[in-house]
Amino acid sequence: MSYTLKETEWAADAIASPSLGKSPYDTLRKVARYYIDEGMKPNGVYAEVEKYVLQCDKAASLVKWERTIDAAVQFAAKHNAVNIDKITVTESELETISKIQSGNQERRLAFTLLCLAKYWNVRNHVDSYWVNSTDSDIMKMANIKTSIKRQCKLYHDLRDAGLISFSHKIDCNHVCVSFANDDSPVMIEITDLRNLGNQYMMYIGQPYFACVECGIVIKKDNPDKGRTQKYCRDCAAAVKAQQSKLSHIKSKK
Amino acid sequence: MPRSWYDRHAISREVSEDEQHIYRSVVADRKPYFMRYIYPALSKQYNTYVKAANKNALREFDMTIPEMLERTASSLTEQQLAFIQKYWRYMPVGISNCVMNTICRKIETQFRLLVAENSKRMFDYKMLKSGSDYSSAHLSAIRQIMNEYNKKVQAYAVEANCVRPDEDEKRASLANLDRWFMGKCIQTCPDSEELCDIVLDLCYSREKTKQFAWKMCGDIIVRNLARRKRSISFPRLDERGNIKWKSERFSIASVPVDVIE
Repeated sequence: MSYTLKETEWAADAIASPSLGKSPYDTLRKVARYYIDEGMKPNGVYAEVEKYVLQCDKAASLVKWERTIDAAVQFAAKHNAVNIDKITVTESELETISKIQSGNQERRLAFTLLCLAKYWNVRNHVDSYWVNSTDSDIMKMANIKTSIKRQCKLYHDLRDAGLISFSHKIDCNHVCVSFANDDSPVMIEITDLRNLGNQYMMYIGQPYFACVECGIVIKKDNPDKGRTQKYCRDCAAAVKAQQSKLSHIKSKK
Repeated sequence: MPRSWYDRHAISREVSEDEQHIYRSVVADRKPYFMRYIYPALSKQYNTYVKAANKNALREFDMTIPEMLERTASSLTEQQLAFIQKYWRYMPVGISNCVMNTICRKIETQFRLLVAENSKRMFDYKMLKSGSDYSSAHLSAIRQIMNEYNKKVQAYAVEANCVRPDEDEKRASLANLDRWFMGKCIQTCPDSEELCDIVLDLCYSREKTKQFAWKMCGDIIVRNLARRKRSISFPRLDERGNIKWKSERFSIASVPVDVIE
């Protein structure tokens, strides 16, 4: 599942430059919700989503997409678009995270869980600080790549530190964040839920940077050498391709 | 069928208070364990439940449920015992020792032993090779092609999951992909025997997918095998055979193979 703070804006951009992206179902449900918010009736929404699929892929078979489009439109009809300006992290919360003795992985995980808990609070209109995301999504956002056993150990350490609690349900892996404290000065404003782990590392002064093109925060390749990095790998390749194209056109003139 | 026979929550509504405890003890609110091999959705539900419960156990107690079950009750804490009780109580399948469940578990154990035994045997892939030398330049070029092929196959699998093409279309798309990459491989390394050795070393030296090797050089690999052993053995129907299967008797027969060079 992809997490977007401003789904309406995202959907408008997706409609302007049609692409199904890595998760077509997610894209379609956001686009469907956009049309519902524009005041379209369900039949109209369905037709527009079908048109969008064909814009993304002219050879797409609408019969084969029927079930996905149906599910996306039904989901969109039941759930409002998420439009959150920012997620704030306060001084007291950052202090609590910095006091974690175990290591950077635990701190990154705690930071990510906190941000996600606030996201779900706004999304579900509650104040419970439960994180309803899957483990794979959480670890991806926290930029932690490790075994399941080690991941469970991270959660175990955070629970022992009193920062999170587990569900009583035997097969529910959701956690409740217990160190949230909004009554403290705001130190960080999160406007992008990608690479939350890296965002925390950048905040504490580690060699990370935000790509000027797409905004994603990644680790610097060689922090001690060379010019300051501006682009992430994907944007760098795109910029380089654009520059070679321009220089080729120039040389032909 | 009265709902109280299969829905635990309906018992309090439909049954008198004196009989409720009898109904609760016999309610068929879940399918027995062996039915996970009949209903794929039930198998998925069971696997998801066990995986999630194990994760929770690891998080809470730093040990999995099987590890907890190996210990005696006296060596477990109250919380661990309560956890295990909950684990059995909310299991989506019935785990009682009925006849079918017992048979199912015996067969599972046999299969597990078989799979474990097979995985221990090391496969010597050198018998598939042509015995040609190759350059490191060719090796790295083919490695890049292989990585690209694996990415494309994976991307197609994701797309096919969404779009759900029919079998013919799927087969045609994959065949086109294979043909395109085969052309690229031959362009990079025109010697088919050298190419065969390169792809075998790339795919078999580590625990990786072997699809690339068989798709690019399947015919060369089979030819190499046939060269090494000029006959093929197979079980043939034989009344006096020593191999019994499905009430028939078979014996192993061999036929010579002519290798077309």
